[in-house]
Amino acid sequence: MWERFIAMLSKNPLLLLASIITWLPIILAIYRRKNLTSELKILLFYLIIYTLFDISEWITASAKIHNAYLHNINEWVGMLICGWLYHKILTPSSIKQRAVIVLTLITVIISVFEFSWEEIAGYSFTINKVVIITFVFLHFHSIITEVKVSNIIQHPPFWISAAFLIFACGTLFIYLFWNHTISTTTQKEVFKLYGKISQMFFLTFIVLLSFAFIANKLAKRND
Amino acid sequence: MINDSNNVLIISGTTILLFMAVGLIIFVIIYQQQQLKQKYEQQKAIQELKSEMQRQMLESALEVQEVERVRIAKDLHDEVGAMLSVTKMSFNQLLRKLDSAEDLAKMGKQTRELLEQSIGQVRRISKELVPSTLEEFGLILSIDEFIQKVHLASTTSFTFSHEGIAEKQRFDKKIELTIYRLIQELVNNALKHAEAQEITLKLTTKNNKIIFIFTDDGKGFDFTAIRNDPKSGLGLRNMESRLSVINGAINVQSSIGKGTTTTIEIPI
Repeated sequence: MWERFIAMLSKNPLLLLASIITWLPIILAIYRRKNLTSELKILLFYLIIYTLFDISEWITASAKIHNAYLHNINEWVGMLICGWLYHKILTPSSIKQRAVIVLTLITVIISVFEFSWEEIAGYSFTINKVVIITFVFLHFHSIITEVKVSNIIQHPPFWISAAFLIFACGTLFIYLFWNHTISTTTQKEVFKLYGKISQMFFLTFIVLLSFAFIANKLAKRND
Repeated sequence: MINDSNNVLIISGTTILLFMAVGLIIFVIIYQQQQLKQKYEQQKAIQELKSEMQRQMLESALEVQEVERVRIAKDLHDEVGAMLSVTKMSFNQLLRKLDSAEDLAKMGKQTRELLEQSIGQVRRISKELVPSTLEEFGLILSIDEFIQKVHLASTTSFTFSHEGIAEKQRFDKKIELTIYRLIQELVNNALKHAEAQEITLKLTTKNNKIIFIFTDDGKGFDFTAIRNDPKSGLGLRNMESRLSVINGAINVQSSIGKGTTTTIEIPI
């Protein structure tokens, strides 16, 4: 198992980097844990949950255990936390907040029906990405219409939404055509290519989320 | 073949989506900043409007105050002053009939003096309410007249200089009246509270502004404490209010035991 793990690391450096870089915002958050807003605390929880699933996937992959189901559960839990996060970000008791609840419930129901132990639940992932893009649109609409934010660059939720938007847009088509990109029947080279593309977008996602914690620090300093 | 066309679709679709996402993020940043700028400008405009409204209300209040003073002065002079004069004349006639009784005549003369003093006080109050010298002859001569009267009534000495301003030079009526009222207030404070023995008044013009400096050698006071005290700071706040109507500014330098210097600047 250990040899397989080392072999996987050497063959997939991008995968290793993606796993390591997830710790960056976690460390930033733990370092500034006293000044975290409630949205950032939810985000920290999301990242910790993701990391735990990631470790599980490394272990199962090293032990040659099929772990597509772990990826599906990770996505499902991640979507729930994302819904909770946007419920917190958006204005209380607004139509947008209620829309977030409804859309999250829809994705949960679809995830249950689309769940697979053997394959990535591609269509479920696709719908999740579309819903996340919708959440981001709702949030951006709030930012523009409510005009409550004085410095958008130092506004953590803005960076959270930017991160989710880039990641969702970057991986939407990959999951829409999952049969040809990341399925168990996909050609090895094609699988690797889209795996790398997906990991690159994930890296971008994590870096942008880190900006959210840095922006929080800058905003608190200026207060 | 199918895979190639799928690859093209996936890559191009992803690229388009990414461009749109980045474009959206940039749009949100720029648009939000513009909205914020507009909001601040609107708030600033509302604030300026409120300040202007307050200034106008204050101006109206001061005008009403002056009109009321004119009415009171007129009533004092025409009604009370006239009654006192008639009373004096009637009393003179009575005195002539009492010449033979010495003690009665003495009492009568004392009473007549009291009447004359009353008539004098009524005239003085009436004059102070409406400074007719200010209206007819301008600021310099009216200040001269005022400080001479105060000097006669008290032991305080006054020094008044007006560099660069001719004796009969006129300014805007509001400015002249404001300066005159401020001098009345400052002299009153210097005599009653500061117990000043020497008062210096300097009036000059510079850079399209009238600069008035009032200095006394009185007891001095803690400016910040008095200014913030709702009971004792009223006089100071009244001066500031009067000046705000004509866009003037006041600066008070004072410390306990070291007198007070008040500098007033008014744009012409």
